[in-house]
Amino acid sequence: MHGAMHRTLASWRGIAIAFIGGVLLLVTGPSVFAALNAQTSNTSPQGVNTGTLELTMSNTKPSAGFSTSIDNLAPNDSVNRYIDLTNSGSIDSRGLTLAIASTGTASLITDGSDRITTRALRVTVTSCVAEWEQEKGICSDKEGAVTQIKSAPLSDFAKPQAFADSILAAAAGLHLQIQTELPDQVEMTTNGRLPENTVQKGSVDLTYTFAETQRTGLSTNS
Amino acid sequence: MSTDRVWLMIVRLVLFIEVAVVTVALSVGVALAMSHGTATAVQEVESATWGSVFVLQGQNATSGALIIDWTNVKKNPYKFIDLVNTSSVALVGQTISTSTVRNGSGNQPLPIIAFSICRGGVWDSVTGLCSGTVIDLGAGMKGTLQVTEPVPVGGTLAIRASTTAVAGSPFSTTFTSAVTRTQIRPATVVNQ
Repeated sequence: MHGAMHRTLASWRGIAIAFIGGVLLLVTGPSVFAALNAQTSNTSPQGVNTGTLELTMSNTKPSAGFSTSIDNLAPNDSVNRYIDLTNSGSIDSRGLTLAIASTGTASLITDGSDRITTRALRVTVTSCVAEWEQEKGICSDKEGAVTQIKSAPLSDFAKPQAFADSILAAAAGLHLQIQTELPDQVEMTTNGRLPENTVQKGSVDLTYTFAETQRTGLSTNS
Repeated sequence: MSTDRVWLMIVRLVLFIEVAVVTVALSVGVALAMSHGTATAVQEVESATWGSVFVLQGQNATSGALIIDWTNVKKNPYKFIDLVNTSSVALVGQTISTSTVRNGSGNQPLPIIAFSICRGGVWDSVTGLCSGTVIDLGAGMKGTLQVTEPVPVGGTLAIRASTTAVAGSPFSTTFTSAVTRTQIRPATVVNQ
């Protein structure tokens, strides 16, 4: 019995020594770190501003841009509208695209297939460094007009179509000609009755969405 | 399989799903963090129509072929009809055709139907005279005739159909008009 009591006291002694050691560490530790602390700060605060990414469009007078409808398009007719597209933010952009959401007469949106030969409305986007001579539809820049998006049916524009020049610097802009064309058709109207699957008497609402993405992030050393 | 192993598998599966969800969420977050700029506008586009119809002189245009019964042609060899442009665009040409059938028995030859236009005037249905200039289009029993008179939107060509038949049973003629896209005004390019 005397031996068992001796072992119990020995184990309690070990626990007590560990406890006292921990307390000493807690008490003395901070005073050691406090002795190594040092700090400094700038006298005037550093300013950090974020940039902006804004894309705006405006009608290029005298053109009404997209604000007026296009009526009575016959095969091979085309209508050119003029807008200015501007990266009015402070950050350069990339990945400039145009998507057109189309609703309305299906034959004006998607080309016919198989025995249906109807051809849907086409949209072409062309840019000019100088102002367009709108009355003649001429780009007066010596380099001439640049096709940004080739002629394609409306259905293609359900997905964003990339501009050939897809980078738009901050505050830079594009003078754009947006051409809407009804291609040639093979349609005969007999006794005033429209043929099946016709493009005639159709109507579509087009929502043009131009989009850009910010340039890739920069890591500056200065 | 012991119960402990089943619980271990369930815990592992839940952990795997959590890791996958967090990974997807983080990747979406990275994509959304990229700034985008957009500019949007709406526009309406409407297409044209083209076509024409035959109607009796002075009547309103309705779609469908015009059928005329000829009787007593010896005394009254004329029918006065209008070819109305029902298009939303001007016409520069039309294709017209006739189909004639005898209403009674017999095997007399089919009569010939001739067309004349009264340009710039109207036909007097009593005298058969034109107040403008008469333009002969030609004649035929079957087949087609090309009309190249321009007709504005809503305009009309005043036509006199005449027959040379003098004998035989009564007959009926169906007048048909057709317009293709090549017979409408030339294409336009509008800059505005």
